[in-house]
Amino acid sequence: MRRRDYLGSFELMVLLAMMRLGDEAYGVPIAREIEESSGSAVLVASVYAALQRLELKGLVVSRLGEPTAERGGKAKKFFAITSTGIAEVRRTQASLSKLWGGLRQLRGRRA
Amino acid sequence: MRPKSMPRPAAWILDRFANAADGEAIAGDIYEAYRAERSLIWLWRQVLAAVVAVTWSQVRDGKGSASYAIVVGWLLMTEFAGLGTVLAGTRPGPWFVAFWSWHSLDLYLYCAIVCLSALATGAIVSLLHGRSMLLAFAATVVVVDLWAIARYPWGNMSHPAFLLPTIAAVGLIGVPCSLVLGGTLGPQRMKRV
Repeated sequence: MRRRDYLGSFELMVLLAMMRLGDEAYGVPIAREIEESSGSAVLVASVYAALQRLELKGLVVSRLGEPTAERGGKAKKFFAITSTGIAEVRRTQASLSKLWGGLRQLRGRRA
Repeated sequence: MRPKSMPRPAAWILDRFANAADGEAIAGDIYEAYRAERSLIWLWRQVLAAVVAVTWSQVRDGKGSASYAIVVGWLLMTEFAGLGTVLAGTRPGPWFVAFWSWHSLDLYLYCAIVCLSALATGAIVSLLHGRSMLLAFAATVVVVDLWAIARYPWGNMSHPAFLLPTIAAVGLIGVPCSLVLGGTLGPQRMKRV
């Protein structure tokens, strides 16, 4: 069987948040999206650490925006998911669904 | 409502210590989110995490440079502190581990010399290797301080009431602060790696 790098749960959340946000994905909205869905606080630096790993794996690409005054003259870094990234999310979804299916312990409970 | 402006110390720390790799984007994001809706506690958590994350990423990408910075830093610190104690006429001795048999004046003089040495070392390490490597070196100093304090219990000291706060203040606060201050006052060779 071929060995592959599995996505960490935070990396998966970042990819899913990016898919929701589309082309305008950058640190602040990605962190907000994850916070809203998970209910816990997210460090912007952790989002960038995950994005850096994903970029190294070729699952996302980045581009620099223009510096703006409301960001203290700092540029935004936009991220977009690649086709390999989408395929990886699909594979992870399929394997997680298989593992989740039919688990007695999880039956009858809703989050 | 007028948008909040970023507290100067937080902006200063981000500019000085999180300005490599994705540092600019991280700083901009923190700034934007803080102005929009976030609290001061949130801001400081994000600032400290950004500094740690950027430092770690720089150290991971430049292990050789980090090791070199740590070795150079310790050599400089030991040399400066040793030379300083000789010049001041106090006993030369290793770092924080041989304080307890000293007279109080020697101790304070030695502490001042160690802090000044740290200031100079911080400037040199920052100039040669960049501020991320300086923070990595400062982290090793804190670890060694903690080890020294744990290894030599307070009960062995001749003036525990006097020495305990001095060593704790110099070892855990004074030296890392002097290192970082030296690094920020001194020039920096690499702004971005």
